[in-house]
Amino acid sequence: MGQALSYALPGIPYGCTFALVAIGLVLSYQSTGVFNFAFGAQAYVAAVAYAVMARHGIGRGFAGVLAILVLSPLLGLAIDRLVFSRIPAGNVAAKTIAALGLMVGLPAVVSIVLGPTQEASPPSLLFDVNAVVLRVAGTPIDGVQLATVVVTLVVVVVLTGVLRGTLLGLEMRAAVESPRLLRLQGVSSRSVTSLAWVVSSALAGLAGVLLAPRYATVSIDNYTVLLVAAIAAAAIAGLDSLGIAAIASIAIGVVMGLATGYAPAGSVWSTGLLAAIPFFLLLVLLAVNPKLRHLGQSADPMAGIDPPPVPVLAPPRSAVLDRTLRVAGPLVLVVGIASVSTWVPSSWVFVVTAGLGLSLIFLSITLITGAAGQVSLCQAAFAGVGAFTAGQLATTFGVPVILAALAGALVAAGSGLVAALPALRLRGLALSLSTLTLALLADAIAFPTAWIGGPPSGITVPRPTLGPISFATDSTRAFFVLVVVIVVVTGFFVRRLLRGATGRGLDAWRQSPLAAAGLGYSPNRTKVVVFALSAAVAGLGGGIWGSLLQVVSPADFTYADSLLFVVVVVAVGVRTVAGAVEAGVGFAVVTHLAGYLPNRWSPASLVALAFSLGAFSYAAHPEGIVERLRRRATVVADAVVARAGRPARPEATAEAVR
Amino acid sequence: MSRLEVTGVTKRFGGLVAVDAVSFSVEAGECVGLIGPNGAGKTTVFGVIAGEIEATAGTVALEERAIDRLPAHRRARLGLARTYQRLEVFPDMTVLDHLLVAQLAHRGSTGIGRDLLGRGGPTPTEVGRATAVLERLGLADHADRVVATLSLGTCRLVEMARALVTSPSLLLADEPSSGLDGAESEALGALLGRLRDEGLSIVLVEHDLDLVRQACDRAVVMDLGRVIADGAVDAVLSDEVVRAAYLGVAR
Repeated sequence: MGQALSYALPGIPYGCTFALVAIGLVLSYQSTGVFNFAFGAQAYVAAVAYAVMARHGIGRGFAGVLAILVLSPLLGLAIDRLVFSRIPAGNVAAKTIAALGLMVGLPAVVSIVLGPTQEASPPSLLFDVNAVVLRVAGTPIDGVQLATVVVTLVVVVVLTGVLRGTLLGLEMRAAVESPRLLRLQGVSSRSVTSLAWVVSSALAGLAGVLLAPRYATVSIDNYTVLLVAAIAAAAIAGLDSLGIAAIASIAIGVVMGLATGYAPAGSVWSTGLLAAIPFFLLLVLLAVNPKLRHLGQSADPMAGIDPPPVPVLAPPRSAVLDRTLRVAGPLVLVVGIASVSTWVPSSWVFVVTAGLGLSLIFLSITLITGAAGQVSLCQAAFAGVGAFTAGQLATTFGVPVILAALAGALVAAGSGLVAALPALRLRGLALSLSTLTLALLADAIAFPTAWIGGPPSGITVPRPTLGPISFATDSTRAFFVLVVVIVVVTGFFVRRLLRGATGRGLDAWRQSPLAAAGLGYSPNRTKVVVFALSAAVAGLGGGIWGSLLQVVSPADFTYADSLLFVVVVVAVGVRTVAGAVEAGVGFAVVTHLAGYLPNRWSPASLVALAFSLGAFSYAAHPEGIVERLRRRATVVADAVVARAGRPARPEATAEAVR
Repeated sequence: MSRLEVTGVTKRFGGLVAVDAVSFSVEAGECVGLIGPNGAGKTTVFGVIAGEIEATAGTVALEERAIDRLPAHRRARLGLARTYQRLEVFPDMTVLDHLLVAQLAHRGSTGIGRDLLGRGGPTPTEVGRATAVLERLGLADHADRVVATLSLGTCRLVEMARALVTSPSLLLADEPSSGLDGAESEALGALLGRLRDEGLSIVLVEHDLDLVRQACDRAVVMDLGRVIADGAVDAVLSDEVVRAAYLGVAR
């Protein structure tokens, strides 16, 4: 009994660490209607700011106040005004993608401003981190732990009071339910929502600053893991009650404390599993709790009187431009492919080939996000499954690489099926959450296992040979041609799916599940098959990517890559096959070019930031940057044609009506 | 044999009894008006028939076959089609695409295999059927318009066309005339009449009693979740109880 207590007690402050984040999630969901994936990133920004100020000798009290009460609220205000206030309440996919953009973009900004090295852990804000402040039943409680417990208690009490007991809290909840009704009552729903963002961002700052001393360095990864643990607790609370969220967090902390205490020490497998307890919990909760399955869906009673949302499909392109593109497009393509396979310097051949490998992975996102409007956050994990399978088969069993890569696609499809089982019942936010959790599980448990991800040094994926042709020689030029063929074939079939019954059915279901069912449409089987196909495409892409690099390790397929991939494809164009290829090649080329910049400018972060900015415009322009430019060109081309005396297109376009 | 048989359907939402032991039937080629004041439970009855809402008690039978355990999409494939009180269109699809996707959905397979073979799109027959229905509802000029750019009344017609394109045997029309002007409403009544003459069974939830008189043979009146009258339209509308329910006279 005494032993159990000594295992359980440290779990309480540990639980409190994610209690703060869980409370923040519930608060921002209740008061802004956004399930804030970026909460961890906001906390991270505040933590870094605090650490930098502390390093420069600013007193920790003053630094804490600046970070929590000045910087964080301003950040929240900026996020609201620049990003979320521009997204219609009902557009869950756009909100999710915008939050992902922040999740990728905020750490990128930090890295651009401060350089690529991580800040060392700052001193504790309230009590000394190393001092044992008090002992409970013989268990030492250090300063950070005590501070977390105390602050959590205070925050729960104060915020619950505000949210439930004051007019402001009522207005905040009303602004989420129906901004229009609130406005009709003479209250500015915009300023209420802004205030909610300010408060929740300050809370993120508080969590970030308080928790920073717990870790060796201030790193975004710690905050993401914290975020997912917190999501589990927030999910237990039904995203509804701050108090329950806090209690659930502490309960999870205690369970993890007990598990850590009783588990046999030392085995990597068991420590990985232990850390993953909240992830498993979240997956189970998502599967069984019907309330969570409908997360984020607007129930605005006034939604019916709004006109239907603005159309997002492309207006017809002008005939002139269409003809020009139809001739110029293939021409550019053929000349490009011919050039790369003959005279282009071999370093660039590598870049373009890498881009094409990425486009395969991106095509898998086109299938899910583009066709079904669902945001899956584990596509890099599927790519990893494909790459590791190919590597293991090729190196351990001597299977020819092309066959091994295809087998990798099959295994990825299998894991896609498993992942799709919860996805069958989930959509929108819940699907994104469960796939993010799967990606983190792959990172934490599956990929570090030697028989899956190989040794830490990486696993070899050789270049293929086909009869007498070896793709290993001649500066990857032959391999480039092979990859072009694979991308063309895959893209061909993906396009058939997008344009056929599959794409149309999913499109209808995305826009009105009720009406789609009323027409006889059942999304379940389609969803599972599309999910598996998408995983297969990602797996194939992973195998190809691995074969290009020739050595892959778990670090190549992290959850952060999954997030980045979605952000990049969405920014460039998620609705079309061409968009995926443009995104893949564009990303590879831009990254390569950025590599010429001095290292202190954090070139990779600059690239990530650029694409995450593109993701913010998803609500207004779901067609992506490239298609948007083409449409802009349409308008210009029309004006030119009209000036030349020919009539412009007669029908009103979606853009014009808006 | 009744095409639709609703027997003792009850729906409770917590303590609220929205629909209380409602029974009525619809014959083949009959148009029945389901009327009553707001909050009477008409749309809930539609939800139960269509399979969107699970009834607390009672059964629904289509062509003598109990369909209570079938999900909404299976009922639709049995020939049940509906339009919605709160518009449920696909905002960024064109009008024509609404009718094509309806037929694809009606096929009942995922179509993924056919898509991969390049034969997944709509067949010429399906396109022809869609064009014919658009023609009939006067939507042909709008075929290539994106639905979000259309007026509310036109969207109602798009929903109607989408429901009719799969040649259903039973149509549940939930306030199809709201958003239509007088002339459009009259044309809708004439259309419903012709569809009924062709053998379609229609249940019409409607507040426009002129439209009900024009199109329906029979009316079922609901108030506070219960059926309070069922009979010929004129007889029912002159009924004392019905007038009291509509006008709010003390009972």
